[in-house]
Amino acid sequence: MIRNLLLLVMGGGIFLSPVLFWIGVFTYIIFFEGTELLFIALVVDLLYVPAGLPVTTLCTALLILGTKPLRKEFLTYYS
Amino acid sequence: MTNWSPQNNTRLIVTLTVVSVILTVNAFSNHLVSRAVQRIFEPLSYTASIIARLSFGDYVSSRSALLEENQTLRERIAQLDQESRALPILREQYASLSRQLRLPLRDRELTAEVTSHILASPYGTFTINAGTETHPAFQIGDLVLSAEGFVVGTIAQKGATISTVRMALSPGEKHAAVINDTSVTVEGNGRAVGEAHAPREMKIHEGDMVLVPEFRFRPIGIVGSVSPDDSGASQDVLIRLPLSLTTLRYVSIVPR
Repeated sequence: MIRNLLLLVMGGGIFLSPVLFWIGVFTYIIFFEGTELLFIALVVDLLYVPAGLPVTTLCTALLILGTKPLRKEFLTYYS
Repeated sequence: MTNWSPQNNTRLIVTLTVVSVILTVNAFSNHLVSRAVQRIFEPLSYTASIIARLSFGDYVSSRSALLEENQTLRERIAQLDQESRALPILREQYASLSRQLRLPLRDRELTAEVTSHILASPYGTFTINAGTETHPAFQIGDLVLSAEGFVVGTIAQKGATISTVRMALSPGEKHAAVINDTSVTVEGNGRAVGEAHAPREMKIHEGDMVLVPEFRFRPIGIVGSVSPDDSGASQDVLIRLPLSLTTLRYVSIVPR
């Protein structure tokens, strides 16, 4: 339920505000695996970048990969 | 919360590969995927822009703010009325001067509607409902102007019915500009704000127009504030667009 709600917030964030989008991304990555976020980030890049680096997708991928050890530790500690 | 497992890793690798392939195909197919996605998401984007305009613009206003806006609009109508009366004479003068200077007469400006919320993009871009099918005449690089004549941005990508506009003051954009006969380099900070540094002795005041030669000396904003920098050798100039981007609905496109 919360997971879907967060995805909805991020989906809305794409069209309203980058701040809303990134808040959703950070929250989602902390609590859930973030693979599906890559598709949302991809949509952001396809919608808004006319030419150049797809920064949103790259940042999201780096965030998912970079927080992986932290998340593993966090989940081991709390589960 | 979900635990990490080898399955998650495989999913992540597969997703990363798929995303990379889509981005590569898009880059090498002249943004074909991009245009398809824009077309699919246009209704959603348009609806969100209307919601944003309503929530930021119309409903969250006090009575006094509305009265003030009403007064400004009345004055604007009176001004437009005056201008419209003078238009035929000015058009004739323009045609006559163009003939004397042997300049080609400029085509009429094209008008387009903003279809995405301007502040939604992290890249300082927004979309308009103009493309090769609806407005075949305009080109990539053409200027996108607000009703007040300020350059909001330039056409960055052209689709069949939707085009992407890169804002003139989007992050990292640099323009050689002229403020009160002083040449400066304006760098965009995003959200319709930019900054420039000018020598201390130059007289720059709040409200001065910031004109860009490469945009045919059209303004990209006005001086919002001027303050001496830390060393005192120069002055920091803050530039802003004197219009609300959240409520901007129609723009015109003119050749560069």
